[in-house]
Amino acid sequence: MSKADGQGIKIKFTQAITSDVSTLDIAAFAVTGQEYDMQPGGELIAGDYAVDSIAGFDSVNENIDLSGGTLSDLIFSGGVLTLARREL
Amino acid sequence: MTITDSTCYQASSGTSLTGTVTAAAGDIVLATVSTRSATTLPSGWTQLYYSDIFDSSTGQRMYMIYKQVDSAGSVSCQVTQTSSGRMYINLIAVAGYTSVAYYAANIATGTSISAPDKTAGDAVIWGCSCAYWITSAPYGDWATSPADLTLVSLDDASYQPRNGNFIDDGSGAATDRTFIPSLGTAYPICIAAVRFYMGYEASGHAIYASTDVQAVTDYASSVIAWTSSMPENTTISVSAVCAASTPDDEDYQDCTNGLEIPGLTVGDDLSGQTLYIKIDLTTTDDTVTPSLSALGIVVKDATDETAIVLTMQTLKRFRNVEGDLTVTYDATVGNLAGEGGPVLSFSKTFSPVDLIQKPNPHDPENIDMSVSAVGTLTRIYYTNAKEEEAIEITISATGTLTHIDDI
Repeated sequence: MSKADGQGIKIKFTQAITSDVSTLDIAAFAVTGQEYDMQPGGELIAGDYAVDSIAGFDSVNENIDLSGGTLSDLIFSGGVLTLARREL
Repeated sequence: MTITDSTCYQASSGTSLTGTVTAAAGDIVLATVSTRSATTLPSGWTQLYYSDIFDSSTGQRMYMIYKQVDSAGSVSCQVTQTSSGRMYINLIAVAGYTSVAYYAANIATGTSISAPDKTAGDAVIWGCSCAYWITSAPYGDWATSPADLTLVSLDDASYQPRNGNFIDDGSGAATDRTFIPSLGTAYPICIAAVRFYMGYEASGHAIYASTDVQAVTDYASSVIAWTSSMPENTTISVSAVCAASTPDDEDYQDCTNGLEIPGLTVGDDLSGQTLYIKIDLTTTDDTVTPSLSALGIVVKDATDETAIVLTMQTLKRFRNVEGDLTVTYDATVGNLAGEGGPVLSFSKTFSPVDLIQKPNPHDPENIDMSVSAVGTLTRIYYTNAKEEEAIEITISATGTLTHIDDI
């Protein structure tokens, strides 16, 4: 299956992976396909796809949006959560 | 910086001096006090600065103290000293700030004194004190260079203003400042600044809810991690709980940075659950705040061990692929292995069905096009036309672009 935006491919095996995936040679994997060459009346050409990294799969791998919670006397600014300044 | 009121008092010789200023509710009243012997400051005031004796001949010393005012009205400040001598009190009621703190000071002998640099934008009030002054009128007043601050001092037509305050609402020059008393010759000078600011709240908290954990039906492991900065006198605590409904405060369990989310047990089914994360920040010094960023969680399902993820290079991903993709694994290059042994070479073709269709990422494009042409008629000599009868004609046309789907 693929992931949105065409950057991730999850490969599911029938048994648990036991090797250290982070040390796997990315050259062992090749991804091929076709896409249009972006010209008027364009033709299908081989896509130029390259694997950047290989990692184990995480069902949840989430960066919490610190601006999206319920904040009390805190502010989120510049990517950082801090105490708010007191008000008169 | 808004000054509600300011007044200056002096006693040429005495053991007690009282000053009064009018303040509004919420004001901070600053008193700059100069005395010459052991001094008793008024109760209910907080000392920001004490110079100690900076002129041994006279015993001159300077204090800066403040009082926060809850309700509008007069505020009195009575200072006593053990031996009769000169006394000065300058009172300034300042509105618009929650806090004040000592900032910087300097003591030197000369006809002027350099001020320590400040951070640009900081709102400060400088207190200045001299043990000596020109003794005959005109007495002259304090000055500062650059001359961009407001002075509060006694009327120098009638008094020697040995106590002075300069008010910097934040717009004053941050560097290369000098204060100049009216001395005539070099004497000890004391200056000190206090900064006015909006202090940080003593504590605050934030609560976040993540429903992503509902993808986990057979919990295996997790990690919660964040980046933080904790200056002295500040704390940060992160706690979490997985629950089907909004939890109570006591349900949260403390998290340790980089370790497992507490309260989860291997095999837990988290479908229908929400992970609540609570962050508490505190400070006992309202000039500093702790900070937290980059809070992330990883939660693994037991089935995650059977899968790997290939991540494509950003500029070489397959977002424009037409039709199927093929993933090929070469076991002669890779060393991928599972519980059943090394993974053999394979080639698997599939259709990426969950690519997101996106329009042109730039601003909507609207193209207007006009077509124009210029033609020139050339005289032909088969009639008896006069030479000056050349005729020129301009041709113009307008074109309309039609979307291909509308043809």
